[in-house]
Amino acid sequence: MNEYDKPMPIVTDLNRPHWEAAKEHRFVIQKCSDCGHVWFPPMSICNVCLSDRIEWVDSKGTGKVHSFIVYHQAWLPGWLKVTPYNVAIIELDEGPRFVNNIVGIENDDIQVDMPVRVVFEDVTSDTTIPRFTPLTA
Amino acid sequence: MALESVLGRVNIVGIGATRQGKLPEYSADDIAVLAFREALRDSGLQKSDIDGLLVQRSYGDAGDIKEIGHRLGLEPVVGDSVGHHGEAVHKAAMLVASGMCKYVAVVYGTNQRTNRNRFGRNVYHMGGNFDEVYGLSNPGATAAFNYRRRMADFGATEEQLGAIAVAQSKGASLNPLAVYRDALTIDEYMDQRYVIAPLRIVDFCMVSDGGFAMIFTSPERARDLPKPGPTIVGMGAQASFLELDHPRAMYHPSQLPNAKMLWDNTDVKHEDVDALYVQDAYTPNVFSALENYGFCEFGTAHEWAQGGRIELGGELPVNVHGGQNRFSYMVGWHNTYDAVTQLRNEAMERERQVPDANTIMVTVSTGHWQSTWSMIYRNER
Ligand SMILES: [Zn+2]
Repeated sequence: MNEYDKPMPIVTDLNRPHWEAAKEHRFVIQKCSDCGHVWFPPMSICNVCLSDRIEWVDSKGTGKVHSFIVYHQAWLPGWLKVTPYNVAIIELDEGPRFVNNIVGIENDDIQVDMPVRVVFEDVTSDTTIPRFTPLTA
Repeated sequence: MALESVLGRVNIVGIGATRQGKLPEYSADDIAVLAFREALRDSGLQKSDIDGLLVQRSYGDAGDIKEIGHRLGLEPVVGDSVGHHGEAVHKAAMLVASGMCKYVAVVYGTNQRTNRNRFGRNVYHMGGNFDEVYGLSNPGATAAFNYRRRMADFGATEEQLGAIAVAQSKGASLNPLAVYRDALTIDEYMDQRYVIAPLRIVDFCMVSDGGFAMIFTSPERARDLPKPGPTIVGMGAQASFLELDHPRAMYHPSQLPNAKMLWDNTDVKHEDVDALYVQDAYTPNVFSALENYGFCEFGTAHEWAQGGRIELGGELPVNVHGGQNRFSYMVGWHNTYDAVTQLRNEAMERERQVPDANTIMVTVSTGHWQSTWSMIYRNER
């Protein structure tokens, strides 16, 4: 049995809704109830209007690859043995940009602006990590 | 016009450097003190003349202003910590121009190579450990993302990126202070291993020990000193905190408004600039700077920089000291040091002097998505 040995999410009060939703295979992001700004990763106060009336909302989970890089050297436990591995900046259709990985495609075939959608990797019985895959896959 | 109260009113009258590379016999604070001593000697001033001291902290809790101030035996009017070389130069200029201080020393020393202090892992604000979960580490990732995007947007190639490492390695091969002095060919560049593709090992800064210091005063007081030095005739500033949220996040966003402030407030024109120094923790930063500061059109720097154009003897020599991948990892301090050396016509050793250097531009920043400072230094005759 393959044990997942890459860094696991450190669940905090701030990010718990995201990781709990991931277990249900939903990708949730934050939205300001006052100005409507949406963002991810989480912050406790809106950085547009500074409101603290924040809600978690379902993302459609689709977007595109804003840029991507390929690590041939690794500094983090668990990642070394999977080099070369990719890290991508995902731009969700709702707007937020954040870092994630592209799966289901060779690194050499990834392209900037490629449409992607979220997929869910159940890495342990109680942890699910969202990643992204080409929309066409 | 803005900045009239500062531009033309501040000179650099002393510069000091330690050896660079590995200095295991010294602490980081020792290195800072030694750099200050060299700058003081160079200026011809007495230690007691220094009434402003700005020190940049370095890795491993070194460079505390109270510690360095005590080690220097100073009792200045102003003694402050600064976060960056650019902040040090800008604040020194403002302290002198305002009249609050007469002679301001700015100092940096680090032994991060000996001490094995590495970069912080955080590449940008992610609120938790999302970076580790997704395998993101090393600030060089920002430049790799930038260059990948440039390749997609403008058809830039990895070989074109190599022009920077090649140019800087040539410069370093002539610089007696440089840590690595082997000149690379483009073929040798292409044979280097990837660290974070599309970037290769020589696209990354080294980690090194060393220190630099500079002393600033007014042009009037400078006239009485042995090396009255260049004058600050251009300054640009721009903080940037939006990171990935910035629409131009991939292209060093703080440089564009920084450049507008710089050029709007100086009589210097692009064609007057005899050499350019860019803080190049990662080589793609040079292309960003060439475009954002208007030396070429957006989306063309990877072509513009080919054919020796940015090398010593080229149209616009860039980072002729060798940059942070060849000279030393000195987070911008090496740029002002070498710019002043060139403007004094003191870089004669091994034919690395920029001919007739009269006006030099420096840009430094805290990171790809972060804050930027720029300066233009000119010999006022
Ligand atoms: Zn809001």
